[in-house]
Amino acid sequence: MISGKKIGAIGSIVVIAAGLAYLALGNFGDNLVYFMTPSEVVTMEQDRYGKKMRVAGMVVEASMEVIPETLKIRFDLTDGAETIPVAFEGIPPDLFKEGKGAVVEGYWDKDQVFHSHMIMAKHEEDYMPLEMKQAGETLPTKGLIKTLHVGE
Amino acid sequence: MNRFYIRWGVLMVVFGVIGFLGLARYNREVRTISPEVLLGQKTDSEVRVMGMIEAATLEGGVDGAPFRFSLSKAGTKVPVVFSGDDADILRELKTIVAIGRWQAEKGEFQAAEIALTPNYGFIASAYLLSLVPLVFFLFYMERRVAMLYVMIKEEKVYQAEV
Amino acid sequence: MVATRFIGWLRRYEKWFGITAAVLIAVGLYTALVTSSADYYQGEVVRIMYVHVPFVQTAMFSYFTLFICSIWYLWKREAVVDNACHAAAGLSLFFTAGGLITGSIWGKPTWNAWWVWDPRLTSFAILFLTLIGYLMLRTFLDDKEKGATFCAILAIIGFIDLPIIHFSVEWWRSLHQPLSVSTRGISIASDMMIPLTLMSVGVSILFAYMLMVRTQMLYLEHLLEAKQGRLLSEGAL
Repeated sequence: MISGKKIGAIGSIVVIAAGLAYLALGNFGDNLVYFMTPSEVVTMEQDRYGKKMRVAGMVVEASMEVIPETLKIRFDLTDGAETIPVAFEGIPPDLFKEGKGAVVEGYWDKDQVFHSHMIMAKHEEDYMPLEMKQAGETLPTKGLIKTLHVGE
Repeated sequence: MNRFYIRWGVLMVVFGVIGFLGLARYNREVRTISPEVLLGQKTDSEVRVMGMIEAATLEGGVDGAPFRFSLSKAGTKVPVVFSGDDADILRELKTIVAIGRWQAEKGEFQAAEIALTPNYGFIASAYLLSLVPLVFFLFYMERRVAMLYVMIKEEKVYQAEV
Repeated sequence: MVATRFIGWLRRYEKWFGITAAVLIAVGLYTALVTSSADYYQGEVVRIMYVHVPFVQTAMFSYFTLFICSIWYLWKREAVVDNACHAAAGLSLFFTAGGLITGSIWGKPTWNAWWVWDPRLTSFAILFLTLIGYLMLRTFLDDKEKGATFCAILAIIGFIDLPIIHFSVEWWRSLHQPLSVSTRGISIASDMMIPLTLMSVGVSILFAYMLMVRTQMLYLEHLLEAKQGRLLSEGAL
């Protein structure tokens, strides 16, 4: 006779094991490459054009441009080797900044522009008060460009 | 059990005082008003106004010229002039806090300082959603242990009779 | 008897852990919310770090405790050690949930996302699921001793996730920032390191205190159950 408790035990193991297997094999495997770099975008096969993907890079200094009377913005994203133009419509997050990291979601098209509908800001691991930053002090960090190329 | 409740009461008072000091600092140094409130009051005392820098309105900053932009929230716009040099946080389509005074004769807001959005709602909810459950969890656990010791003691007395 | 001596020891010394934790957290919260500065890039919202990091660290520290206690149980087979395992798992789940919630609240204003499936967040979600699985298994397994052994093995296997969580931001591409304290040095200014250290140490000691309380609770519950069972079988109740 199989008791209710036993069914519960087996059921819970099955559910958790399935969840873990999904995360570990399916989702986690994909997400080991959470984003692509601009270098990989410009060299990728044509059949991946128009497919949803994430690209991370550093927003190039003085490259951001807001088109008047709209919420359309354009900026360049670089990984140190290659630079791609990004077109975005909407309000970028407050921490989105030139010279800092960003992860953009969208697709790369034949016009050689990355069309994004979502921007995430990628900040570095250093934390300090504003006065310290203005005094020109720096703390050791891995460096944004290096974090983009990890695992290559 | 009385000592147990007194101990928890003292703890709550201490953490209540810290929370109150945090709140006082918020009111003193962080709290902002909207452009609409600013235009309604038009006081000449120093205030903190929060809003988004309108698209394609940010200009100036070259050769020491002051920055000019339009700060907006919920449709109300305020022209802002900022002559500080730490303009690193200015960017179009970004929500910022301008700290300064309303200039009635010029019809513009003179900002002495610019700050990032405080996001205090997020900070308060992160602290409350982690610390309040922690306090309840610990309180019920401690009370349960105190009650269990009492119950075990009673059981023992009963057992001795058997 | 080992169990009564162990429980007596917990009861005698728990208050010192409780007092130390309360003092550290009180001073830590004061520095975190009142005296420390805002960050140059994130602004005020960096204050979420002073609860998020201690919760996540404690979640991992408590899982490490569960790992050690599980090995100890398999070695000595003391029922009271199994109570400690059970207590550590419950606390680890609590701190993991707190870490997920505070992290999510920090992610929205800084990254512009409540949740992303990047390696750091995914591996931390796996810890959460492992603990839920562990605790579900405990409630469903009838045979106390067999169940305890089975759970101890599960906890030991699940330990692999801990180094993965810690190094995920260094090994793989993630939205989450790399380690702030690593072989590169400390990337947090002393003004922010003070509340962070106070809160991290404070919450870890609080965990030690909570573990002492919860182990007593689970031990006493089993003791009471056993006593009532015995009385019942003798027809005394």
